[in-house]
Amino acid sequence: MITKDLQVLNKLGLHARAAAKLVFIANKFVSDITLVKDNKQADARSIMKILMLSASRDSIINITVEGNDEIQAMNSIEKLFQNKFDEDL
Amino acid sequence: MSIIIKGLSVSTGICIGKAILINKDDINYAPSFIKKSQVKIETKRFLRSLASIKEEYKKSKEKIKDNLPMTKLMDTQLFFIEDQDFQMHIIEMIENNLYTANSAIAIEYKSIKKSFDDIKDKYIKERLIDIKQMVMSLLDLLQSNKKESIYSKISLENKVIITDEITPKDVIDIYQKQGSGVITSHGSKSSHAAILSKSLSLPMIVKAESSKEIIRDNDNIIMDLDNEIIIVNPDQFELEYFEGIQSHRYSLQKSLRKVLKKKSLTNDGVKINIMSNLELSDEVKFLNNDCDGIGLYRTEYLYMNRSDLPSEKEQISVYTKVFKAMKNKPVTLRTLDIGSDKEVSENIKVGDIAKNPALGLRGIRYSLAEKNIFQTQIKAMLRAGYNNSLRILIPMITSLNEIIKTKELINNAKLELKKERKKFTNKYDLGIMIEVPACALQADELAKHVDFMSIGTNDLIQYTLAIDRIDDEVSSLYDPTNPAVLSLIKKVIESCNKSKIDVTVCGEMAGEKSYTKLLLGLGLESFSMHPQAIPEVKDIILNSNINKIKRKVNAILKSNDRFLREKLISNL
Repeated sequence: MITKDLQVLNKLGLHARAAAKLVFIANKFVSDITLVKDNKQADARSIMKILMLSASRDSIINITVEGNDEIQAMNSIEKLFQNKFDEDL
Repeated sequence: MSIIIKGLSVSTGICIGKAILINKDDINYAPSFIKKSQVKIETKRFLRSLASIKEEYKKSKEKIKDNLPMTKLMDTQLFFIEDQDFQMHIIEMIENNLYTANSAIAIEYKSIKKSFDDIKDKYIKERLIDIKQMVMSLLDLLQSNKKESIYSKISLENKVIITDEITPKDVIDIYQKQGSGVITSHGSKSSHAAILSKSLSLPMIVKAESSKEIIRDNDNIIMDLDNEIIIVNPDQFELEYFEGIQSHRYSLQKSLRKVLKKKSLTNDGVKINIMSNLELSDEVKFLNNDCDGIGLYRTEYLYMNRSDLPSEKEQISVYTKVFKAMKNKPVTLRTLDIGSDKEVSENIKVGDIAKNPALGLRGIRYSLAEKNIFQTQIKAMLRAGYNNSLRILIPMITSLNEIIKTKELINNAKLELKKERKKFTNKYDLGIMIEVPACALQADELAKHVDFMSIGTNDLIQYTLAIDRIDDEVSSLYDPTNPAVLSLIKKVIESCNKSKIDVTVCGEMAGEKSYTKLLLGLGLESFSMHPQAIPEVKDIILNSNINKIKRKVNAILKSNDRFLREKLISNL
C-alpha cells in the first residue's frame, strides 16, 4: 500500500474533464485507488465521487493505492497531477 | 380575480376544465417496488438501459468525430455512464430495498444532487447537469420499456393539461384518457402534435408562455380558442358567459352538419372532392358518410406507443377496418413517415440522434434503408386492398430514382405474396407526396410515373421557405401564401392536369377555411383535411364560383406584400 498527498495545480481544479482523465488512468490498473479530501472519500473509478470531492485549485488530496501494480499506478497518477491534467497553458 | 393569458389556438371552440400541471422534466421520487422474484429481471433491465444509452453516445460520438472539443465532451459523458459507483449503488438498492430500477435511479440521483448542493466550486457544481441528463435518458428508456407515459398514470377527465411541450404520443394518451384540453408554453400550431390534437378535437393552445408560472393545480380554466386566450379562475359571470357560448357552438355545429348531406358542387357546378385525413383507425368510426374517401391515412401512429413493430397481420386488420368503414370509397394509405418531430417506438431509431431530422432519414428515405419494415407494410396494404379501392401514398419523395426503387420493392412484395399464395390486389393507385420543392419542380416528369399526387403543404412550405415550423424564433415567418409556395402548388396542379392524374392537397392548408377559395382558384379540385374542418370548408366550396375566383388569383400570385396578399385572399 502506498499513500501520498498530491496537490491540484491546474486552474479549473478537479473538474469533469480532469476527473475523467483520472478515471481513465485508474482503469488501466488493477490496484484499488482511493482519494480522500476533507473527510470525503472517492474511488478513483467513479467520476461522480471524484467531482463530489469538490477539489478546486491548490487543494490537497490524499491518495492511497493498494494492489499488484500499485507502484506504476501511483507513478502515473502523480505524473497526471504534476502535468496539471495536461490542460494548463 | 381572473387572469388572462394569451396563446395560439390550434382549433376553435370553448373548453372549460380544471388545471393539472405536468412537468415532464421532473423526476418522480416516489418509490415504487418490485417483488423479490423480480430482482434479477429488474437488475438486467437497468443494465440493459445503461448499455443502450452507452451505445447511443458512442454512435453520436462517431458522427462528430471530426469535432475534437465535442468528442472530448462526449468522452466525459461516457465516464458518467460507466461510473462503477453509481451502477453498484443502483444494483444494491434493487437487491436490498426491492426498488424498481426507476426508483433506485431517482433516489440515487437525489442523494448525488444533495452532495452537489454542498459543492462551492461553481465550475464543478455545474456538472450536475451531465448527471441529470444521463439520469433523465435512463428513466425515459426504462419508462418506454414499460410502455407507460406520465399521462397514463393519472386521471385526466375534465382536466386541462398545462405543460411545456407535447409530443404526438402524449396527445394520443391524453385523448384516450379523456382529457379536456391542453395548454403548452412552447410549441407551434403546425407541429404534428397540434395537427393530431386538431383532428381528434382535443382543444389545444400553444405558446402560452407564462401559463406554467401563473396556473396552479386545480385552478378553473376557460380556453377561449376563438380569441386565443386562457382565463384562469374566471368569476361566476365569465363562467356563465362561456358556458353559454359553448352550448351555442354546439347547436351551430349541428346545423353545419346539414351541409354534409349536400353534393359537393361549387356555385358554377364543378364537382370538388372532399376527403378526410385520418390519424388513428379508431377515428374512422366518427366519419360516417360525410366525405368522398380517405385522402391521407398517416400510418405512423400504428407504430407509436409500443415497443415492437406492427406485424403484417395486425396491419391488415387495421387497414381492413378503415376500408370497411369507408365502404367502396377510395382509401389513401401513406407508408410510414417517421423522422422529423414524430416520436416512434424504440425499434425505429431515427432522427433522435440526427442534428437536423427534417433533412435526415425520414419518409421514403427511411423505408428504402429499412426495406423489411417497408416490405411488411406494403404486403399488408396489398392484401387489405383486395376488392377495395386502395391508393398507396409515398412520403418525402425527392427524385424519380426513389419512385423507381419504391416500385421495385412493391414488385418484390407482390412476388412474395404470390409465393405465399396470398390474395392481394393488383388494382391500386400509386401516388407520391409533394413535400420537397425539388419534387414540385419536376412534377411534369414525375407525373408520368405515378397515378396521383398529394401536396403536403406544411412540409412544402417548411422546405421552400427554410422555416422550421416548431422553432418559436422563426415560426412567424412561416407563410403559406408566399408567392414561391403558391406558384409551386399551382405548378404541381397544372402538371397533374396535363398528365390527367389526380392531385389533392392534404396539408393543413386544405382544412384552413381562409385558404379554401385560394386553392380553388389555383385549380385544385380535391381536398383532404381533418374531419372536423369538413363542414366549414364544404360550406365555403358550395358558395364559391370558380370562374370568378380564377380571374382574381393572378394578382395574389404577383403580390409580394404579405399584408396585401392576405387582404386579396380574404376578398376572393
